[in-house]
Amino acid sequence: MSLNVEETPVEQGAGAFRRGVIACLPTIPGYWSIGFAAGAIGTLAGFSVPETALLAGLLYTGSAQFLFYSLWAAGAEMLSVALSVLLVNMRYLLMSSSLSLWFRNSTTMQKLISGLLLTDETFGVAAQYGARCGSIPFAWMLGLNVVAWLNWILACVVGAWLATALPASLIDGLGFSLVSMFIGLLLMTWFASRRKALETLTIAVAVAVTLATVEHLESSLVVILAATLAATLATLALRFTAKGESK
Amino acid sequence: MSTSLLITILLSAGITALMRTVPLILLSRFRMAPVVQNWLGFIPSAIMAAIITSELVHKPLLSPSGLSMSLMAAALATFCGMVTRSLFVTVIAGMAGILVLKYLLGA
Repeated sequence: MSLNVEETPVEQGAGAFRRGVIACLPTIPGYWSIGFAAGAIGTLAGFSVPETALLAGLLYTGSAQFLFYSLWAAGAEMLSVALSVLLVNMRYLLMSSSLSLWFRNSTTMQKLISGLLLTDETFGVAAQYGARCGSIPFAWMLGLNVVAWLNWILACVVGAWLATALPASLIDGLGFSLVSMFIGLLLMTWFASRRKALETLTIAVAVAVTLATVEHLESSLVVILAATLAATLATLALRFTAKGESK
Repeated sequence: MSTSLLITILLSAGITALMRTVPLILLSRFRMAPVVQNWLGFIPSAIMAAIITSELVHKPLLSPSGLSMSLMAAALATFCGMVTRSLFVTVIAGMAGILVLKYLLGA
């Protein structure tokens, strides 16, 4: 047993699944607001409800779904649609790499299933859990992922149905839940971190790089560039400050 | 549904699935150098900070006088999150903040 009070023991089985489901709850308003919009825009772009549902279930990412609708509606080539989706979703390479730190004890099949349903939101929740507990149980990740996935598909389908009757003011409030959820996750990550000064540096650099490039680059590239530069600078700062200490 | 649409959906979904799973499956097989582990450990904060910033810059809800209500609601959410250390309270504070600001500033 660890004597560290901050460390929660890693759970397994049904209890872990249930706690994963509960961990997903704060992200649900975000999925519904963006899913509503993603479904509605699908209908407005000429996609049928089953087509929108298929995109939601298989592609399972708002930004790429928006892109898919607009490119397909504009008559783009199959390969150029796929290439654009690749560019927009490049951040998943970073997220998947980062989560690999917490999945050493899982089987390949468990890693495959956990990774398949990775989104910005579930990544934020899972990364915070992993940093706190040192490992992510498969059952917990499954609970988190399945609830998120089902809510996303449902939200897209409902949005596609109600496309023409959506009240805009409702969407504004719901839409902001995405930003406030990431603010919450970032704060929780910061409070749980053992390297608060370096986390602060990471956040400051990421914000600065985003502000400097947001007008000039496509937003998915901005996020990748900002995250890469910020993490690199924080790692360099860690190496630099650790050199003085004896090992 | 046309065949070409179905193939394009499957192709896009396949590419996305590979990016979501391959690093997780491959990198978790071995213990990485501490410097790489440290770097990956900083990625979550960096990505979230970048997403928040680009959302606030790209889609600001402005009051009629030009103030960014998004920025004010974000500040409120940050404050509530720091005080309560609760994800739920932070999310609710941000959403309530936007609705109250829209009402008060008449947007």
